Amino acid sequence: MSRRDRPFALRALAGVPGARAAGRRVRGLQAAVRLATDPEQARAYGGEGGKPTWRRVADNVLWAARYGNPNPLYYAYGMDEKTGTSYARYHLAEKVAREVNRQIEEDGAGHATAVLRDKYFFSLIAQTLGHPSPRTLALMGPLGVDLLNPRRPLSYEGLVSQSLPLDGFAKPIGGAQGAGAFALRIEGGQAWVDGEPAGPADVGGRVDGRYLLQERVEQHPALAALHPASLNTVRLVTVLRDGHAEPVVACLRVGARGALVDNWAAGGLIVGLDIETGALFGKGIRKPPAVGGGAVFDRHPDTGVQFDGYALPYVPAALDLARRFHRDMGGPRSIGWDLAFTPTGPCIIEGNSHWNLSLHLAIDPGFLEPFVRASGIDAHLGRTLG
Amino acid sequence: MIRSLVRAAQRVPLIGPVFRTPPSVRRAVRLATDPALSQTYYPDEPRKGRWRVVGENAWWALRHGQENKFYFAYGLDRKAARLSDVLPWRHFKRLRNSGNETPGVPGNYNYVCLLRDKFVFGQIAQSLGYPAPRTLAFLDADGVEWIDPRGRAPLPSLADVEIDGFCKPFAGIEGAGAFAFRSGGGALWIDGSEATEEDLRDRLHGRSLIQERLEQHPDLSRLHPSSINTLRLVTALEGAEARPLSAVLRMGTGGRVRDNWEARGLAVAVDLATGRLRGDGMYKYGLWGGTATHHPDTGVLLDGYPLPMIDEAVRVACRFHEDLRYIHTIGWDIAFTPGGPCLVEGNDNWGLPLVAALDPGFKDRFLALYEWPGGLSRRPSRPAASLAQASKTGLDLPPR
Repeated sequence: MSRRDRPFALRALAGVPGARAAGRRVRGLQAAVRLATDPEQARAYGGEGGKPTWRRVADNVLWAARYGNPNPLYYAYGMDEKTGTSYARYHLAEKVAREVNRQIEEDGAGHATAVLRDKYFFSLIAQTLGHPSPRTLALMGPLGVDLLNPRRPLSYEGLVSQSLPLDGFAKPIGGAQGAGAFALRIEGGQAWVDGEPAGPADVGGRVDGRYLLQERVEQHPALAALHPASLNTVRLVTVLRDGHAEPVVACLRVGARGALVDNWAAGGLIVGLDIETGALFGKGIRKPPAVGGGAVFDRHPDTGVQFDGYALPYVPAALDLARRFHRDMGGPRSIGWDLAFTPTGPCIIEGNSHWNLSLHLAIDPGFLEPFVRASGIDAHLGRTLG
Repeated sequence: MIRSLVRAAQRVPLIGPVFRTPPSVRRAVRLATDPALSQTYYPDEPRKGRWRVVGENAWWALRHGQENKFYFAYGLDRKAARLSDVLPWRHFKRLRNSGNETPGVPGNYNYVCLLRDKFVFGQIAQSLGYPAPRTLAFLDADGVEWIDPRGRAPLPSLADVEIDGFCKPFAGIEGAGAFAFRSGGGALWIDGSEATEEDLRDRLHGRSLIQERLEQHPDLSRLHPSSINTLRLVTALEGAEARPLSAVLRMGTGGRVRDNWEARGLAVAVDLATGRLRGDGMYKYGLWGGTATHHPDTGVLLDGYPLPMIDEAVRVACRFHEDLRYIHTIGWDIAFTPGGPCLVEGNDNWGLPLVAALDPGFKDRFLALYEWPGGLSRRPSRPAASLAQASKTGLDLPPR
């Protein structure tokens, strides 16, 4: 209902101080009740041995009352199960996330953050330190590109018609969660964007800021077997303490439905990775708002590969690579690394200072204790974890 | 009698502070009256009277909350000079930081760490193909970590490796914590003197890096051979293009290895149009303050002395600045080797006094970089040629 179509009484009420905020609250509570009573969502994540409906309603109403909007990850976190993530655990995770962010600020105003967030400078640092990472081919702007090695500026017409074949992945320099990224291939005067033929104007039309074109990473067959269209990466969190970096928790992100990106927010699945054995554990989880809705899978929905026990290659080498890179960076105190696996070994795609806690919380809420202990933030949380 | 009354009033709660002289004013008066600290840098020009100098310093301290240590270096004791000829430090700092530390991209972060972390700076310069000193290794009290090839070794093993370099902390400023380092044949040398492993540990505060020693161009060595004499070049972004704002050459004195002004170095203005030094050299304020027409150790006449490859130095610094587009102004430290200029450091937190004391037109050029919607007495809104405007040009990648 548009604003003009609302009854006069409602429009008049909107002028009362606090009425709009109260309206938002009421809508949040309504959405929470809908979420709690939606049988589709409850079934999507299992729903066996779950809390009764009245408890789910109570949980979500309390959440909406506290935060003002419903919790879309209620089922993904397993908060609907009697043995799943409890509210107390979620609030602890929230405190941990706040503490991680506070430490980043304390360490120097997001200073080291710029090196991690700017994909261009990150790739430069990785290359000079000799850490395997995708080679940067060009910087892109709305009107043209700057080819690197050797540097030469080109218009998009010039880029498409130039003789050197290019096969890479373009992404915003400061982007996150795969937003704006696209695959670009140029060969024999023809360009393909995300696999579709495209002209110079189409390529330029996809670039709405500063972009980076990196060479395509050839994926290890074991990762390609899960979902060949996307580059499936491991999110590994390392913690730096007393000059030593140690891995704490990891998960694998796998693309789905033929998507080119593996991000959870873009419809990909997440699966737990045991960093001791190098094998996946548990089920693949899809985020609720994604295409197809939230769901859990024993096997990849497209390729049928069973997740639990699936062994990934080069996991010890990947852990060592992340350890060394974090130590070289000297900060921030925790980094979430995105690691790809090529036929010859691991490859660092990017590092994230503000890494997403919810991925790991959805897979295994038990990761909090080792993380808090390893990072030494238990003292700041005002409690000691068992 | 009056003094006793004032002292009594100072002790009265609530109104006492009104009768107390602010510490900055006391320091300003001491600066203006101490014969050692109040030497003029311009002995040939008519000077203001003593009471006027004291009054101006006290007024400056009251108005800006801190004394003007560079009052004499700025030449404000000359009759023709006015206090408004120079920017107060706080005012300058606010302007400089508004352009350099404001996030240029969505998110709460900025890009100054690319300059402040000397290791990151060196690696980025190297990977972009700009000349910068090569980093050989990281160093801390536990050991040494070699960069190429990668490997970690205990600290004592350093003595067996032939190194001639410079050791500095990751994030030091004004040369603090830096020292010349040499090793080989089982021995270590710090600042030219033989040292033990313990001496080296004592000099390391946190993580440091060892960079290769630069071979200096003979024209710079002629001025003072034992220090690497560097050009401080300030560049500013105007749109997507960087331009030089001011340049000063710093040189060591007394056989010291550092050229910093703080380490009794001598600074001379550089005329970027001719590539020559301009005017007399100047020491920092203090007991060794004053000017020099010739270098005190080598006797080289400073005014008109030609610097090598100055155009190349400006071109390289501006190109690098264009790659660091979210930092509005940068103070570069540039060394000159026989092969060309070498970017030793870039500083987002570059200092005002060095350039303001030697470059009379600096204030106007600096203020022109910012927009002043409410007049000069109000805060500027942003750098005049803002980054937003730069990105609207579409291809905000300057032609090479």
